[in-house]
Amino acid sequence: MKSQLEHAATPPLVLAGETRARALRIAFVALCMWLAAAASFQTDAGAGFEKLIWLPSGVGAAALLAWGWGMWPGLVLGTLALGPTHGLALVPLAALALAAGLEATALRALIGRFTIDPACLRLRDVLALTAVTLAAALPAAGVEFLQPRVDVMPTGAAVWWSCYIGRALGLLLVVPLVLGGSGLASGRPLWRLAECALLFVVTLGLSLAVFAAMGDPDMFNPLPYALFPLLFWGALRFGPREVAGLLLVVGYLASWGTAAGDGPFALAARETALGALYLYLTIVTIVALALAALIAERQRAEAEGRQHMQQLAQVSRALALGEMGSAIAHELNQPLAAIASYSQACARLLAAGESGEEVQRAMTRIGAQAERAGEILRRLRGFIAQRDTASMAHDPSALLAEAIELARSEAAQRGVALRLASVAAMPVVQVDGVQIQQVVLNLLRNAIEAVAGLDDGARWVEVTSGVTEGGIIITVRDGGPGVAPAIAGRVFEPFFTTKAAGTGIGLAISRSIAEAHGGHLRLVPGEGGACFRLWLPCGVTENQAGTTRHAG
Amino acid sequence: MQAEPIIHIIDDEPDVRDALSMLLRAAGRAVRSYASGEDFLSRCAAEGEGCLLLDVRMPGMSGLELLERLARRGTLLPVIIMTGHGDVPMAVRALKSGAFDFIEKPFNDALLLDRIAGALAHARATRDIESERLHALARHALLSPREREVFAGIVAGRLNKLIADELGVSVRTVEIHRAHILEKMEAGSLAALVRMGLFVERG
Repeated sequence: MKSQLEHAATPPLVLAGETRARALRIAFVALCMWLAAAASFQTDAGAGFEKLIWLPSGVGAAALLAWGWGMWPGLVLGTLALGPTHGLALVPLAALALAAGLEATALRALIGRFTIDPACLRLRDVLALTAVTLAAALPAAGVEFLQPRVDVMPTGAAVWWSCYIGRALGLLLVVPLVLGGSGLASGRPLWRLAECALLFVVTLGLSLAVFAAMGDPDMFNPLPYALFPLLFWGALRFGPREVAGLLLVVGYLASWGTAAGDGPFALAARETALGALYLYLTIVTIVALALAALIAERQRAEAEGRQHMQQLAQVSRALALGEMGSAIAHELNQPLAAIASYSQACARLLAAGESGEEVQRAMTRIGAQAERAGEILRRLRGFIAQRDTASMAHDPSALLAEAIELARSEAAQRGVALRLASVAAMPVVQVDGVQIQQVVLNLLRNAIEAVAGLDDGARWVEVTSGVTEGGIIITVRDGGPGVAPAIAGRVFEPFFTTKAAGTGIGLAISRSIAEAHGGHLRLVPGEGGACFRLWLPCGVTENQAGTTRHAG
Repeated sequence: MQAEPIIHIIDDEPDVRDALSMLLRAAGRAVRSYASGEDFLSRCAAEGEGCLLLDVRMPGMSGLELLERLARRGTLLPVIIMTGHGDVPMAVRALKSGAFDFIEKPFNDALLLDRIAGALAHARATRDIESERLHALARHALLSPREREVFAGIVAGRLNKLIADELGVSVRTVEIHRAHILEKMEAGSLAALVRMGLFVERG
């Protein structure tokens, strides 16, 4: 028995830890339920009405969605705690507890059934969540409405509406607040947090001013519209979660003010007022959440587009290296051949009894050649390595030199002269170095291929770099026949190619890369060979702004 | 002609050039190196004895182009082509264009020196035949028109009588011509004369 206990010592401990964590969660859910209910009690419109907004609905549903069915006891406990604290009788208490369980269960089941993502990052999710919320609140509202009321018998539709819409709103506001996607992703700068806090403070203040102010019950009050820009601000700059938070502030304060007889919805005809309040809150909620989802959707599409471009660029780099394989092998062979010959020469010199200067020189050269071979491999690895693309400060001349080195072996193999005409000093550019090298290498390889089969005098490729206003220019020109005017407009189209074995993605990707850097890549019309010009901005801050705006 | 054959190295890679010439010098060879085909053509006008070590892949004039240019010039220097490892098609093309041999980079020094020795031996043999040919042509130029006619007949293997009938002269005259021809051509025997005739026929 003892040994068994010792053997099983760890699992029970883990189990105990799990149980404790679960108990803590249940207690936390119960506390939140109770707090939400206590807050909702502040929106009780008094005789003949129910609570105008019922937040525990959303808390319970969010708990079940986030932590599973096991949170059920928390829902019941939190509701039952209202008995002693708010003096509720047994029957309404039981009705509330039953309603809370029903509603959360229904919502979780429906969300699972229709595969809705409560993160609300797509328009479809927001619309579907609205629909299932309205459906899930129905049975719970029925239970609450139809309970045998001992105090006041139900007096009409207003009670039913406040039971139903109050619960639906509670679900629709709290679930995205807890589970929604946030626009404040980790790693955001502090000022984004500050902006978000400011937005909440302004919304809170304005909501108080609008809904808690003494209004003239007979006058139309346009002030609720003043909150729209704040909600749009939230949707544009942040995510569905932040918008849900703002909506919760607005919805709760509107309900609270209206219940207390203040604000624009405190009309004399209270049933009409209730209808106006609910219409306002429902429309504002759906529109703002939908807007946030649409913007999140667009941002995600943009991010995916960027990612695809990067993946495509990566693939095309690998493809380019594959095509350059024999030229690269030849390039690596040169230092190896030199090393072999130097060392064999050394062996002969030493065998002949000679030593000193000549042998020493050969040894030095061997070291240099080995380094050169290593350098070739390093360059290739740097070019192909899969990594996060990062904009960094780069010297364009160095980037250019590396790209030319990569192309040099292929040029040599095809007997093409590669010339570099560069200005002395170039300003630093903020770019992804590998991608810019990829663009230059692509242009160089195209040019080399274009002139490879031609006569002696035409087999040249010239790279020129220069500085222009606000940027740098890299031009690649060749001695070939040039691009026929008929196809000049199509060379940047994806999958357009004139080569027998071409994929037609090189120039298309090159242009995407240039544009993602806020620059451009153009075919310069003119006599003689083809001439492509890459322009990149060198203003650091403007460039970064440009990158994020145009990157899609 | 000087005694020592010269190995001409033509490679655009300075390091390979340097390493090769060091190796060959260590092996006791005389070496000259050139950065390109153009360089070789402009600097190496007078050909002595020797051979070429030629890199096929070079910017500007490629190794194959240089081979063709040399063939057109009628150079006697044998060419050993240096190719990248496993570049068999290139080697085949080079051999078809008249290269003597090829060797893959990076190479074993014994193999390289072997190939060079082979090339030089071949060059020497070619050169011997060439000097023989030049000798035959020079001698042949000394013959009179009639003697040339008789020479053609002898080399074709015809008997004196037949030659005499063809030319409309007596057999005796043909015999006198024949003695003169042997003397002028400095041929010790009929066999040597026939061999010279082959060179003369080819021009």
